[in-house]
Amino acid sequence: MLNIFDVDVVFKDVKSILKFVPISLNISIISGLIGLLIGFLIAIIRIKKIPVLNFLSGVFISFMRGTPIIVQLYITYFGIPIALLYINYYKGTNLQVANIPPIIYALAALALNTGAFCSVIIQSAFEAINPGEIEAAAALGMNGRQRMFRIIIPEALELALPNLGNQFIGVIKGTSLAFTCSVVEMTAQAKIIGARGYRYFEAYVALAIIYWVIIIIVEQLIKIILHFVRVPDVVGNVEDKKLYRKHKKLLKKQGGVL
Amino acid sequence: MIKIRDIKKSFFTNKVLDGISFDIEAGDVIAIIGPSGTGKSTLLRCINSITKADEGIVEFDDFKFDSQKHTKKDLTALRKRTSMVFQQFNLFSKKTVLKNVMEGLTVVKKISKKEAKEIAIKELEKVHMEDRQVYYPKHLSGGQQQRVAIARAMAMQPELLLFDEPTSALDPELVGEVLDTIRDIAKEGNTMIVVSHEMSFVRNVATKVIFMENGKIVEMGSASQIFDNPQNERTKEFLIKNRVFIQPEYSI
Repeated sequence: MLNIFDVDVVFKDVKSILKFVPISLNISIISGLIGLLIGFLIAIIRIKKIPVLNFLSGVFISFMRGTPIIVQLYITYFGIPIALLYINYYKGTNLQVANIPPIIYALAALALNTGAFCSVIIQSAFEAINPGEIEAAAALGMNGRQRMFRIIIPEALELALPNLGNQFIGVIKGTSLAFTCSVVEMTAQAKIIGARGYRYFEAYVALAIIYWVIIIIVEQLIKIILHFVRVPDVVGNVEDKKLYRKHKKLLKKQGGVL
Repeated sequence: MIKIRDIKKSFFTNKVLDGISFDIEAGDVIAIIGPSGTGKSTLLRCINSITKADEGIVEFDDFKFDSQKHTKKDLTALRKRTSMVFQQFNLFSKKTVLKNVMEGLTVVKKISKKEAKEIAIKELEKVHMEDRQVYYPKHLSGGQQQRVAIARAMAMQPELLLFDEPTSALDPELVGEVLDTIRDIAKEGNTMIVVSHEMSFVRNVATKVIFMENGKIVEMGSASQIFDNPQNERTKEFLIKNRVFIQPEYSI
């Protein structure tokens, strides 16, 4: 039998790449969360127009948007050791480059990159909130922190969530470049097993399938979260779940009009 | 008695409020009328310091708020004593009607949820919205939203209620229900300031009418004094114009 393309090899490759799913997911979740935090801080700096910091974050965002991720990975990979050498020289410390696990480089680069993009998303979400509601909260006597956590963030979250989800999907795919920092994750593993028998195509097909499935699952998760965060369209006792389900069916039957 | 003393506010070179002073007795319903752009809304916003006044004092029986020097505590104290109803309702869009009314009680007044719910339902009953507790603002008509906003303001049991053109964003059919609600609240003996263009409502409900123009109080007096026997030329002119505009609508 002709086996120019061997399906069995694809299945075998899927199995061996699957072992590296946790590494890829860990990198994306950790750098995604750190990125979210960085993005939130930068968004606040930019909205409040804090002098100096506002300018610096402008430069940072511009740089992160203006250079490819792979270049940013290279810069952290080669930049951090050089920075350590300088620190050792001036502070007299003895920090060893070899002690830094390679995953740190990937995390740093991806987190900074995500932070820049998240800040733009979060800033626009904050600016899209009806200022009247914030005024109403102030008029009730709520202080800045209460307004932020009880009114502004819940609303901004709904507005930002679809875009943040998109950004997270971008991060997951971005982890495929972590091999440039000598992290062995899914893509690196596919390269390695492809090289073993020169069955590169099968390895990459297996890799593509795994990425695709992961991202379909993430998309569904985002949809579920959005469903809970959004104000429902149906009119009625939405806290009564039974009634809500009934309305949902009605909505579909009537083509969206209740 | 609440004393408003010498409130001044400029936006850059544009002097919006030029020393406004008046007294409010308990139970007073003060209506502020006047042409657009004379600072009526700004005055209300300065009274509860949503817009920071350049100068001015708001004095309650046991509390004095100086807009030039005050602490954050003073600001919260001032806002606990006043409640505002906005032209654009400004309900919290992510919260249900009930939670909108409870928000200030639980977060600012730190009342327990159970107690807050009881108060909120009582206030919603007063504005006839108790059957819409679990609706979100976007599921309500403008008039209903404004009634909920009134319940939200009332629930805080303020010493002074501020209505900033409460019916200006409503279509004529819905104006009535909101004005009726405000009238009921006035009858209960609540102290309030209303900025309104609904002259017949002002005439019937207000105990005191202030006519403002160009950031100054032009004339102040009881409703019958202002409407039947205005002293100032400018007041006369304004009222004549308004009656001319309103009359055909009422003759239908």
